Amino acid sequence: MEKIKINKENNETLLKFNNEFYDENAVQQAVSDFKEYCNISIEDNEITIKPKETSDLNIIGYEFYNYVLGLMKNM
Amino acid sequence: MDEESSMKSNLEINKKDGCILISVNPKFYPVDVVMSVAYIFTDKNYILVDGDPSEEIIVEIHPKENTVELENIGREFNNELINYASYAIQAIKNSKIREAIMKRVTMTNAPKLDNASVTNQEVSDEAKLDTDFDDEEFEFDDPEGIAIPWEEKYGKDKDKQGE
Repeated sequence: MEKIKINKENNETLLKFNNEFYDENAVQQAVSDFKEYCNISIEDNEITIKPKETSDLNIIGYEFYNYVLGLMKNM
Repeated sequence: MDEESSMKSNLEINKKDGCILISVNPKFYPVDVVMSVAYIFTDKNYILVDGDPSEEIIVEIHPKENTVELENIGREFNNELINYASYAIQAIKNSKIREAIMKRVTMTNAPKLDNASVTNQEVSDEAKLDTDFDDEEFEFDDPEGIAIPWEEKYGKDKDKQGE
């Protein structure tokens, strides 16, 4: 199950969210909150995250997933 | 099955990637229960959820720190699923009782309205509430005197009586 794809050449992480489980509003909110630290683009259910500073691309992806879960819990 | 991954019950342990995949049957555990449990594991793990809510929910758990206790994490997750599902079932069963109690509480402390301001619907609702709750069915011991309405216990009339 490849929910996180790393593109080391472009220094970016590609995430794929299943709308059946993840609330779209929560994902949008997470994108907004992460924009301070990363350049983010959304296309369909795929989110491309490019950190502004050198970071572990895997960790950023995982943290994003956890963050969305946290937002959903508080909604 | 190679040494780097193994299947135990609904758990697929991947030692190479240091993660565990948990297969959850949505007929037993609704999506909101699974997501609630997933959230509580985010403290020490990274959680990804995928699958088909009508067929199979797959929870992927990556511990934040390297650990060999992957199977334990999976089994803890299963335990929490039961815990939260049980709570959800009880909440549904108790919802009507809880709603009735809250109605009773708010009606008890509601200010009395004069006849001009009370609509027929409100009178009907209050009468219905009284018939829904037969006081004889709710008799209970109150040695501490807690169940006495505040006005009755500390109201102005009470002060005048004491003078």
